[in-house]
Amino acid sequence: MREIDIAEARPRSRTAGLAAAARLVRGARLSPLEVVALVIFAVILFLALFGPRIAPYPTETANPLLRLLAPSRAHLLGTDVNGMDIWSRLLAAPRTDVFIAVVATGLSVLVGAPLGVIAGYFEGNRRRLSSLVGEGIMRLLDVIQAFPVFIFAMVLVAIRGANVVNIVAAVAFVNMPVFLRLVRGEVLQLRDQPFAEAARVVGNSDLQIGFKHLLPNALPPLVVQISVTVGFAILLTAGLSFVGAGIAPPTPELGNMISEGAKFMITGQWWPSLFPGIALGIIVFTFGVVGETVGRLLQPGGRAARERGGDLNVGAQQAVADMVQEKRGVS
Amino acid sequence: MQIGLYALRRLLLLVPQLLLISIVTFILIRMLPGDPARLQLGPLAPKAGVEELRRQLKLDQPIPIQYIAYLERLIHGDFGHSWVNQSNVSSDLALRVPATLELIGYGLLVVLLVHIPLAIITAARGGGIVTRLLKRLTFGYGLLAGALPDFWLGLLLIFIFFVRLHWTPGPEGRLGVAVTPPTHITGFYTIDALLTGNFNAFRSAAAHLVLPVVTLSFVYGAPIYKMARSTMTAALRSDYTTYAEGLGLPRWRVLWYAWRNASPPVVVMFGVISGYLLGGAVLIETVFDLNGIGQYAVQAITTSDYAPIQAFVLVAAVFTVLVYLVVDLIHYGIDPRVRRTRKA
Amino acid sequence: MSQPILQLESVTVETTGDSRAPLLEDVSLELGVGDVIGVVGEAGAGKTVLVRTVLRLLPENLRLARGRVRLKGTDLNTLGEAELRRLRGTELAPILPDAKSQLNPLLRVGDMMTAVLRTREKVGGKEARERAAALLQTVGITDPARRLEAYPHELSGGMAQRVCIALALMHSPSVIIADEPTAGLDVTVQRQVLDLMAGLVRARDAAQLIVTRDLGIVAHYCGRVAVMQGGRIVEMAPTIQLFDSPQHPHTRELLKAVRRKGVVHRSQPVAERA
Repeated sequence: MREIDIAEARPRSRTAGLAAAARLVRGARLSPLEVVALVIFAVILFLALFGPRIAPYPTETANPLLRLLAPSRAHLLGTDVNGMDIWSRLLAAPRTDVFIAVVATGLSVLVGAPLGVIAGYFEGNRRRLSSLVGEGIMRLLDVIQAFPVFIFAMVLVAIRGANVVNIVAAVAFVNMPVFLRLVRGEVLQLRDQPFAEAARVVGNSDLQIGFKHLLPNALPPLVVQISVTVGFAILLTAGLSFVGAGIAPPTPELGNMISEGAKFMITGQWWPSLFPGIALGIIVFTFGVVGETVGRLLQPGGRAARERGGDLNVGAQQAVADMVQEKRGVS
Repeated sequence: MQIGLYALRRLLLLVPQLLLISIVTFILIRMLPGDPARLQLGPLAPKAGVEELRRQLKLDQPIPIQYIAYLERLIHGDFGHSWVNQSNVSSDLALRVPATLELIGYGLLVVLLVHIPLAIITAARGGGIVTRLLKRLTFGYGLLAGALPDFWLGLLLIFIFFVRLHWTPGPEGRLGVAVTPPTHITGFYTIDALLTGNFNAFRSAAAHLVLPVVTLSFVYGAPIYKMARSTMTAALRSDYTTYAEGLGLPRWRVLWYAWRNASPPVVVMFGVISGYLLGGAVLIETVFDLNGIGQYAVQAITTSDYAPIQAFVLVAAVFTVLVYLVVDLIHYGIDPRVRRTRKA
Repeated sequence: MSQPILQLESVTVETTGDSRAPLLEDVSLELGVGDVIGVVGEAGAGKTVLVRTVLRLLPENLRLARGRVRLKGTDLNTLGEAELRRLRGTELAPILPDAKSQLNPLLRVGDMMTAVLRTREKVGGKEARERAAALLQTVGITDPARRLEAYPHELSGGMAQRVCIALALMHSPSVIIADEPTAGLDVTVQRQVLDLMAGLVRARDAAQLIVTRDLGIVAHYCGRVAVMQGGRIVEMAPTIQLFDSPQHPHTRELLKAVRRKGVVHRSQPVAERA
C-alpha cells in the first residue's frame, strides 16, 4: 500500500508517480501477486471506511418488489431475498467484518502478547516459582485450546447476547492463545541471546528485558500472525453470523448475506450467496498475503526455519498455536 | 519398549489434562446465568422437579462437592438430559459422534490419498508437462483454499453438482429420504451398511458423503498440503538428499527417505486439524444437514439447551487431547532425535 | 599418464535466469587411473560447483552451459537420468563435507549402507548387513555391529566421515570426488581419515579428486594441484612444482597465507611416494 501512497503524495505527473511506485516495488522485490494483494488491501481498507457511502443503493432498506432479481445492468450482482442490491451491500459489508476482526485481533494481541512475554520469560527461568508461573500459564492454555474454537465462540456469544461488543470479545478470546504462544516461543528463543544477556548485565530486570528488548524482536512474526489472524477472525465472524450467532440482518455482513442466500442456492438463485463468498475469500486471502509480505520486508534476511524435534510436546503444542494460523492462513 | 515407557508417561499426563478439562466445563456451567438445574430441565419444568434435580445434582452442597458429584456423573457416562429433545444426551452423542467422525474420517482419508502424494510430487524438482501443470494448479490451490469459507464452498458445490448437474443428492442428511438406516453396529452408515450387506443404504450413504467430504478435504486439506509441500521441499534441498542422489540410490528411495524427514510436522498438522475438526466441521454439517455433533451443539446453543452444549464441549476437548497423544506417539516413533532430546 | 578416467573439457556453469552469472568458467581437468588431484581455492572459488557438476547434481538455479564431462570416454551430457544414476555410486562416488549432515538423520547407518549396497547388487538382507559390517571394519570402525544400529546423531564427526567413506567405496568406484572431506574434524582425526582414504583408494586403483581449502592436505595427499579463483582454474601443476615455484599471483598468495601459519610441512606427498 505504501508505494501507492507515495505515488499519490507527489502528483507532479502521473508517470512520475508511477515511476516512483515502480521503483519502490522493485526495491521491495514484490512479486506481481504481492502487488495485486497490496492494491486489493488498499481497496478493502477504503471500503471499510467509506463503503456504505459509495453504495449506489440503500444497504439496509428492504424492497419486496425487487426480490431476488438476477444480475442485470441496474443491479450488477442482482438483489437478495429482501430486494436489497447485493453490490451495494457488498460494498458496505467489509466495514462490519473488517472492523470486528481488526478490533478483536487487536485485543487478542494486547492481552496475549504481554502474557506471552511473561510466560516465556518465566518459563526458562531457573528460579522455581518463576518457572511455575510460566508453566502454569501454558498448561492452562493447553486446556483452553483443546476446546473447539467455533463452538466456544458461539457459547460465549450465546451467554452474553449477539451484539458487536460480545462478538468482538468472543473472537478476541479464542484467538488470544495464538499470540500468547507465538510471543512465548519467540521469547524463549531470544532470551538466551547475547543481547538479552547484556541487558541483564547492565541491570535491567527480567520483565524489563522481556518487554523492552525481547518483544520488539518478536515483532516480524507477530505482524505476520496478526494479519493471518485478522483473516481467520473474519471467517469466524462470518461463520458465527452464518449460523445465526453473529451479526443479524439487515446489517450488511458477509456471513449473514451468504446465510440468507443459502436456501435459494438450492432453488437456483445463486447470486445472493455466491458473491459474498467470493468477497470473503478475497479478503481473507489478501490479509494473508499482505501479512507475509510485510513480515518479509520487516526481516529481509528471512528467518531460519524453526528448529524441529526438541520437546515433542512443545512441538505439538506449538503446532496447535500454528493451527489457527495455518488452518486457513495463507503461507 | 522405549516407546511403551513414553506412552505410559504421556498417559499419566493425560489424567491432569482431563481433570482440567472437566474443571473448565464445570466452570462454564457456573458462568451461565441462572440455575443449572433449571437450565437442564428447561423453562417449562415445574418448580418441584427443579428442586428435586438440585438435590440430585448436589447443587445444594458446597462447590467442591458439586464438582466431585459432577465428575462422578461424567465417569458413569451421564451427560445429563436435553430438555428440548427430551432425550438422554449420552444416547444422542452415540448417534451423532459417528456421523461427524465418518465425515472427518473420509475427509482426512482423501487428504492422505490425494493431498499428500500431490505435495510430494509438486515438491520434487523438474518433472514433465503433467507435473508442471500440477504445480501451477496446486500453487493456486494452496493460496486460495485456506481463504475460502467452508460453508460457502459447500453451498457452491451443492449448486453445481446437485442443482445444476444432478450428479449428487442434495443436502438432505446422511441418507436419501426413502432409505432406512442400516442396523446400528458402529454408527458409521457406510461401514454398517457394508457389514449388513445393505448395499442400497451403502450407495445412498456414500453418495451423501461425497460433497461434504470434498468440501472438508478441499478446505482443511490446504494447510496440510502446504505443510507437506514446504517440509518436503526443504527435505529435497537438504544435504542428505543430494548425498543420497550422489550415491546413486533409486529415485523412489530418495523420495521416500526425504519424505520420512518431511513427515513429522505433517503428522502433527494432521493431528491438529483432526482435533480441530470434531468441533470445526460444524458449518459443513449444518450446510449438508449431516446431524453431526457440531450441528447438535449449534442447535443446542440456539435453544439454550445446556446439557448437550456442555457434553459437546467436553467430548470435543477430550477428543482433541487424545488426538494429540496419538500424534505425539507417532512422532516419537518416526523421529529418533526426539528420543534423545526429550528431557527426563 | 594412461587413458584418463575423468575428463572435464572447458566446462562452464551459469546461473539460470536473466543474469547468467558464470560460476565455473572454462574449466578443464583430467584424471587418470590412480591419480589424486587436489583442487584448492578460497571460499566461493567454485569448488563445490565443480563437484556438483561432475556428479551431475547441480541445484535447480544452475546449469551446465558449455563444455562436457567425460567418464571413461563417455560424455555425461548424452546420458539420461537413469544412466547417470547408475554411474553414481558405481563409477563416481561422492564424499561430501560435514558427514553428519550428509547422512539422513532418520536412518540407521545399517539401513543406509544396505540400501546403497542393494541398489546395485542382489543380496539378501542378512548378507547385506554382514557386508556392511565388514566394510565398516575396513574403514576402521571397531564394533561395527553396534554402529550399524546407530543413528547419525549418535556418531562422532570422525565416525560419520568413516561411514561416508565406506558408503563411497561400497561398489569400488573408479573415481571418488571428495569435497572438503575433513572439514570440521579434529586435526588428529583429519589425519587418520585422510590416510585411510588414501590407502583404500590406492588399493582399489581408483582416481580421486580432493577439493579443499587446506593446502596442507594437498601437499600430503595429491600428485597434482589445480588452483581455482573466481570460477576458473588459474594454475595447475604437479604438487611439488606448485609449492616450489608458484606461477600465478593467487597461488603465491594462498601459499604465503598458509606458510605464515606454518601448516604446510614439506614432506613428500603420499601420492608421489606411491
